[in-house]
Amino acid sequence: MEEMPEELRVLIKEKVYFCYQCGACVGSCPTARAIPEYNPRKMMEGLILGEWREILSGDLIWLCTLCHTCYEVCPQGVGISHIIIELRNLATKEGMAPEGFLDSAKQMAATGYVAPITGAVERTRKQLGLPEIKVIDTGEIKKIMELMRFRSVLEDESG
Amino acid sequence: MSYALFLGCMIPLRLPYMETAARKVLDLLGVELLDMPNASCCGDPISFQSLDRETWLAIAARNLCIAEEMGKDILTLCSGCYETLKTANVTLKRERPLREEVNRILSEVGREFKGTIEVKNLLEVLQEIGAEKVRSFVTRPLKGLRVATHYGCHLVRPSDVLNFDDPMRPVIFDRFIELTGAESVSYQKKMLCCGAGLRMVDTKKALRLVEMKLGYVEEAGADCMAVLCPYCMLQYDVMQRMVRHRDGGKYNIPVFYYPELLCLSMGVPPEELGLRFHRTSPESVLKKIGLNSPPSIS
Repeated sequence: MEEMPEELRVLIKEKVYFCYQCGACVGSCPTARAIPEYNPRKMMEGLILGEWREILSGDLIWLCTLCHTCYEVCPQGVGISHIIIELRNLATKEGMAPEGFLDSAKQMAATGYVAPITGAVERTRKQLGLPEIKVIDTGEIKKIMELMRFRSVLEDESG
Repeated sequence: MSYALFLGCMIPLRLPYMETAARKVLDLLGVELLDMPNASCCGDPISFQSLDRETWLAIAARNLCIAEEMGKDILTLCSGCYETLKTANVTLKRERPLREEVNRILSEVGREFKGTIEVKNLLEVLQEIGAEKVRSFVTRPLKGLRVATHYGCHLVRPSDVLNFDDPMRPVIFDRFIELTGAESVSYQKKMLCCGAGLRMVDTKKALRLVEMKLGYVEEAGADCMAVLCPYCMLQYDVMQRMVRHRDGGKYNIPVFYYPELLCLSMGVPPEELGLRFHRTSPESVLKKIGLNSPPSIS
C-alpha cells in the first residue's frame, strides 16, 4: 500500500488526533493485562506519527477482544475499539486477515453459521430433547457477501 | 407474549444445554418462542465485523427483516447476537445513507429493512414480564448460594447503541440473581472480559484472562459464577478445565447460564437441564441447594 487509504485518513483526522495520550485505554484493556506488548495508547500514537503501514500489517491489531471498554472510558471519545475494527477491515482488504477470522466468513457462506455443525452436537441435541438443527438456504447469504465485494476475500483464500 | 427466537450458532451448535434451560424457563413463564424461518447466525461481532463491517451489518439486517416480516421483536440468548443485531437495528434506523446502501443490497434478495421491530436480550424480556412476576415462580429459593455474576462485554457495550444498563457498573443482572434467592457477591475486576475474542489468535493468552477472573471469583468466596453468553460460558467452564489440568486442580468453580439457575429455583429437576454437559462439575452447588447431582461426564 503506497498511499494512505482515504477511510484511514478521515479516521485519523476526525478521531485519532483527539487522543491526548492519557492511557485510560491501556489501564482498562483486558488484552494488555494478558499481553503487555499490546498497548492501544501506543497504537494511537503510531497513527498520529504516520506509522500506519506498520500498524496495519502488524499482529497487534488482531489481539483486541473488542470488549469496547476503551470505547467507554476514553475521555476524548476517540472510540479506539471502532478504530481497531476499521484497521482490521482495511488489513483484510489487503489480504492480511488471520486464518481464524477468515474461517468464520467461509463457514458463514457454506452453512449460514460461523460455527461448524457436527454429528456430535446433533446427538447431544437429541438427548436434550431439542429440535434438529435447521439447514439454512445460504443463497441469500452468498449473494449478499458477493454484492458487498466480500467474495474476493473468500476466493483469494480458497486459491 | 411471543418473540422471534434468535438462536445464533454457539448455543445451538456448541452448548445446546443452554438452549434447553432458556426454552424451559421461558415456557414456564408463558413466553411463546417463534422460529425465524431461514435465519442465519448473527455473523459474530468479533470475527465477521473485523473482516468487513458493512457485510456484517447487511447479514444482520437480513435477519432483522425476517423478524419484521413476522411482526415480532427478537429475543437473543447470546450476548454476541445481541450486540450484532441491536447494533444493526439501531444504526440502520439512525443512519439513512447506510440504510439505503444496505437496502439496495437487500432488495437483490427480495428483502427490505424497515426498522419496525426491537432486539431484546433475555434480561430485557424478563423485565418486560416483570421481576415480581418472575419471582412468583420461584418455588425453591437458592438460599445461601453465593453467586459471582459475569455480565460479559457485549451485553452492555458499546453503550451508545446497546443502551442496556451501565456499561462499567451494571446492576440489572445482580438483581435478577437475587430474585432466585441467591446472593450476588461483589468481587474485583467484575467487568474483566472473558477473553473469547483473543482465542482465535492466541488461546494460551486467552487462558490467562480466564485464570485472572477465576482468581478474583475464588478470592470473594463465591460458590459459582453465572453468565449470560455462550462465549463466556465456554471460556469459564471449558477453559477452566484446561486451567485445572495445567495447574493440578487449582480451580473448581461451577459456572451456570442464568436460565439454569432460574430453572433450579423454579423447581425444574436438575436432570432435565443437561448439567452433565458442563465441563466443570456443578455438583458442589447442587449439594449446597439440597439437590442430587446428575451423573457427570467430565
